Amino acid sequence: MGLVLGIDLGTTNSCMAVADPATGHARVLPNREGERTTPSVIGFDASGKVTVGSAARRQAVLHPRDTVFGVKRLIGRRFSDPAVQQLRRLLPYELVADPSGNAAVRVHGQVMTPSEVSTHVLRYLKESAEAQLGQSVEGAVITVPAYFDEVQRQETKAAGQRAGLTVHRLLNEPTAAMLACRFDESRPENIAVFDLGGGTFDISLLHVEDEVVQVLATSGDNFLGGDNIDELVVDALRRIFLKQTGVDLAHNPEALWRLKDAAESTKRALSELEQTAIDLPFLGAGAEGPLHLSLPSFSRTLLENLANRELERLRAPCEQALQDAGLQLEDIHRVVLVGGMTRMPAVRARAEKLLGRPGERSVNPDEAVALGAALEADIIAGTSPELPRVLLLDVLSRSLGIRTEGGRFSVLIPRNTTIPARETKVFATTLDQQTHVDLEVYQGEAPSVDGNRYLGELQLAGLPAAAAGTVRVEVDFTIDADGILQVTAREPATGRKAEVTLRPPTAASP
Amino acid sequence: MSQDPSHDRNPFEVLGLQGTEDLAAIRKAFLRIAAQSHPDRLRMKSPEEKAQALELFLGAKKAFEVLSQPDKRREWSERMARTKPRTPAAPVTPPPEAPAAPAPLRPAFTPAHGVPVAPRPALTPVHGVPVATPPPGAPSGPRPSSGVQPAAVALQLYKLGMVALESFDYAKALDLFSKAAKVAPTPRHQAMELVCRGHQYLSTRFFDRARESFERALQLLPECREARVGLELLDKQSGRYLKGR
Ligand SMILES: Nc1ncnc2c1ncn2[C@@H]1O[C@H](COP(=O)(O)OP(=O)(O)OP(=O)(O)O)[C@@H](O)[C@H]1O
Ligand SMILES: [Mg+2]
Repeated sequence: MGLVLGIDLGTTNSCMAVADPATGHARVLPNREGERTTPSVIGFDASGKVTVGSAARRQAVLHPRDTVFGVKRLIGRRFSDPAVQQLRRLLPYELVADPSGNAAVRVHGQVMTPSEVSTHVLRYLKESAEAQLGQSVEGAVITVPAYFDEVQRQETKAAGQRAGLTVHRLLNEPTAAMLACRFDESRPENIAVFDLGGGTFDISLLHVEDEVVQVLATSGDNFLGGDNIDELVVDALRRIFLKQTGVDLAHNPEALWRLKDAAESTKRALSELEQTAIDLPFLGAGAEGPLHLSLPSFSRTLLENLANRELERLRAPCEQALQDAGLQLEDIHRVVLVGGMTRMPAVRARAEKLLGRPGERSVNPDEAVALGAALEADIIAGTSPELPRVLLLDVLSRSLGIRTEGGRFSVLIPRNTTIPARETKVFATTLDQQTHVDLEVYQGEAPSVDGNRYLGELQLAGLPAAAAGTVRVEVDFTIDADGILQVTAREPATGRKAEVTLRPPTAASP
Repeated sequence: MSQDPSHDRNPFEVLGLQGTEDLAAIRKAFLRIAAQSHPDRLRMKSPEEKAQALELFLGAKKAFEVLSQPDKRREWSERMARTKPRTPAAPVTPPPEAPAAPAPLRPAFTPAHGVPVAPRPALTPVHGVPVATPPPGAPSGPRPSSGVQPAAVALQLYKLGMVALESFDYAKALDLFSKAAKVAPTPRHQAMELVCRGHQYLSTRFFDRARESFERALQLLPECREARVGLELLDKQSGRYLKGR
């Protein structure tokens, strides 16, 4: 068996690591260019050549329409999703609907799903690792935001498989970060991992005791990250430019790329400085020739004012997670901050306020997730002769259930249930002489199935024809440690049984 | 998703506890069982060892989930104090359940599994009543009570086991028969236990072990029809399997 990597497939940056079977320690593997993280940017040229990482990023200004980034925010989403529509206005590349109505990108006239785009990043990482280690890479543990639903997970897995990787497991990012962090095993502790990256926010509460890491609860927002802040800054700069020159840059991809670049570096600079200057010569063209954007001072206060409303969205998931875990603020012993955005002082301040403790930076926020994934790879697929000591007990992040009468959503496995898990519920027929039932499986927290994600269905036929409500059907949901859901429906009187293993397809309905 | 506690084995027992422990100790007990039975810990083990460990894990997890709720914890703790102050609970494989009153055995359906659905207006696959997880808890009668004849309990368990067997739920059937065998160690109960094991092996294609189980059942109880049926099935399946290769 070849090597198994740990891969953090990030919205903005990806990172890979590998565990040394002899020592059980993980280390980051640099990419072909020698960088420890790889920008999740993919460039396509007209001849079909694909460039990944910094190289693609460098060429982005020249080929803004052919350079794709941040696809993790689109993965497993509907094109009609309002968040996708809003994003569309600000992206230099083209967003379209694929034949089944999911968000996709179009480059050189070719439509690609976000998962297909991600495959290029994963393949690049795999090949970099192989070149470097002189050994073939067989598989990977890939991380996903804890708050990803089953479809988003499935799409991520498909991306890995297309890249020629056996995906041994999808691991939640904050949990991975936790594994990489050294903890004190001498006494039980509750740890909060606050992970704000480029595109997603996750909060996980974990309990560590002896060698077991038990996830207590997880929550988050799949559309909240540094990119949102960058977009607010881009929009502010666009308005300023419009006011100063009367020229709107909204449909100018080159200018949008440069604004995005400037927004991001301004944001980073303001993590250290109180204020900075923005200078973008030749940003547009007017009747009298080239137009420039020049702001002598862009202050941290201005950035924070712009970001405030978005950052307020960090609150609800934190409160939800605390509530689901049954913890009070004083029960939390440590707060670990991960993700590049936790370098922003306003973010750190909020995390500390919401979780009631100063945040620790004992782990490298850019590498912890990949290191943890590599450790998990060793735990589940490792070749070390000794069994790793740590055991990870993860949870299901979104509730699973079925459609019942009137489109109501009946939960079988509530969110934040430790997996593996199995739950059974008994249902009764609604109609007289009903001889079959269709079980539609959904995931989410909305009380009606319309607000939730459709995952698949199965039919149990051959029920004894009888009066409504007299025939019972036992529905059993089993999720294994890999998060694969097995649904079984059984009519106890006759023993008739139907079962299906749900590997959710691309979202076929909203 | 609260469930009627009277249909489960006492979760304190499942975790090998006395019934007086606090949440921290309860969690510790669960994590200890989890550390031995979680699938990630058994990556080198055989499928049936994994399957057994999974049942253990799920049972402990359920028990922990129930006892995480303060009111449930109190309830079960009181019940534990009432029912059995005698044997100290052994971890992992607790002693047989305190005798349970016979469940009102309704013709063919649910009782084996738990709560019959309360009558309610005609709904679609209705909001069902949550039901106890099958794994370790013998779905016993509605209320653990003292002073019931062991023979009656065993008979009840046996009947429920047959219901489970008929619906091919071998894990549940095995659990029920082995409970029956513990209460009343008759050849019939023991043979049925072996029959269920045989079917479990059969379903994971451990043909040799399946045969051994069915044959041992026949030795114990030569007239055991279920064991013969099992052997016939085994011959068919193993033949087909070998041909298929
Ligand atoms: N010093 C800094 N100050 C402010 N923001 C920063 C700083 N450094 C990085 N960031 C921001 O952090 C984000 C990237 O973080 P990270 O690399 O952790 O995300 P990711 O893992 O790619 O995304 P995700 O985890 O959401 O998929 C970007 O928005 C980047 O601008
Ligand atoms: Mg990240």
